[in-house]
Amino acid sequence: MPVGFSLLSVQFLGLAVAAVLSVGLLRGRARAWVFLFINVYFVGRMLLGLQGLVSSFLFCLVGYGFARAILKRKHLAYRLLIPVYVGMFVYMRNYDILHWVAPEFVLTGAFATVGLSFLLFRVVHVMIEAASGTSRPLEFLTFINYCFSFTTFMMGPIQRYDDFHDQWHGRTPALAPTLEAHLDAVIRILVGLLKAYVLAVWVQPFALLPGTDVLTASVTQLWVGVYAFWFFLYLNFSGYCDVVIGVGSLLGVRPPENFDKPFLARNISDFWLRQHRSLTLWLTDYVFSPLYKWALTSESVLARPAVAVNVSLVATMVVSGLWHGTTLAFLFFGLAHAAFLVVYHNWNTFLTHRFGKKRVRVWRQNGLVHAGGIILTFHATALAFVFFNLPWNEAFTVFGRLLGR
Amino acid sequence: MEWNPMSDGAAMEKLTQVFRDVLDEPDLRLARDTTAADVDGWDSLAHIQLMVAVERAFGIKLTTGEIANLADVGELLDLVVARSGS
Repeated sequence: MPVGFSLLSVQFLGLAVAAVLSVGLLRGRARAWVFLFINVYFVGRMLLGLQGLVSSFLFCLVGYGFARAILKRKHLAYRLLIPVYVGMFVYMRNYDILHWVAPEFVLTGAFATVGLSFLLFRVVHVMIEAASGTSRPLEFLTFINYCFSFTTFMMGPIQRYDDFHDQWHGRTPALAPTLEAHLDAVIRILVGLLKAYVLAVWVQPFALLPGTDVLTASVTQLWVGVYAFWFFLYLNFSGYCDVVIGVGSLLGVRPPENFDKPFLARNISDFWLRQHRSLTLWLTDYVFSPLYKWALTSESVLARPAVAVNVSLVATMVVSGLWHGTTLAFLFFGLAHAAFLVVYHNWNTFLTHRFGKKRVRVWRQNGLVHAGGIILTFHATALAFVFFNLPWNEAFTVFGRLLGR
Repeated sequence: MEWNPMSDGAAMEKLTQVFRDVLDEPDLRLARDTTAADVDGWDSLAHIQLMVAVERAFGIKLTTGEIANLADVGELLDLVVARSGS
């Protein structure tokens, strides 16, 4: 979570209660305006300040204008408007790579606000659906509340516009109208706070954090640091998601689930369906699938299924890495996961061709294979997360030391 | 030439054959409410292979949004029938 922000603060808890009571009870346009006021207060007053609020608002406004233009002229989506919008995001986030190719005086970090990456994916999704003719009606107030919703603005989950729209307009209930369901939502919030502010805080001192002297720390300390950082990230992020899903459910727009015990993932593909699931589904729908389909139907070497799938996997994970952060370390994070996915996919294909589907299925149900898969996946993902917290050169030093070099 | 929209039954039969070929499941049976979770091997990778095969078999084009939003075989069938007849 951003430095200085706390889900436990009186301000946030007060805002959440006020939102649940007002948005949950009001109807019609008053409800939309009150929710907008709450969202603007959250983003402008509690999270980003006026400058961040204005730049985020302009980013959404441009996205809304582009989506409207795409509704009228669909062919503009992929050739012009989505690339321009992504370019605007790259500029605003002030990516490291820009400093290699553009003069310093045109670059600024002033627009690099918290939540911009999540905004990008929410808005690009709306543009793609508009181009596909599958978008829900694009109403300005609903769109701005969708972009600025205080439950998902900061760190997701990445909600889809149709999901938000249908819940906001009452087509899909966020919560069953029972006392039990409401109590479950409250318990979800408490569990989230316990994860983020008790368990994560307890684990944090053991985690490999920026500033750790990776040259003098013992190998045992480094292993503990790698494991602890994995659990710290999980507890912090999934705890935050529990809180916002609970609050969202109570006020009438439930964000999508984002975690499903990622520590039980039996392979890397399974891991990404359990960890930051809303991001995985976004990347699958809007990066991997179109790219894979394009490759399969192209008239080049890319059309070979093995080439198409491997190229699409690598490209998707590179996008994922660069979406997570602006430095080279995040590119390495993406490449590491690309390598894991490529190895897993090709190993899987080899086994299926060699032994047949049925035998592989039986083999996978074996307890030892299952446990081995969990241990291997946990270690692979824990090592890749080192890129999250350390500069890339220090991360490689850690790997070297863990390998005994 | 007379316009001859494809019937649901004929489309379902053709769709089932496409699924059997792509997923290498000769005995596979599809119903309108069949979802990816019901069919072994129908993952995100196979989903795109299926969509490409469906496009080729029916001579249609599916958009990114349509592919992403398909909930079950019934929705795919409706899309294929509507698109084949247009």
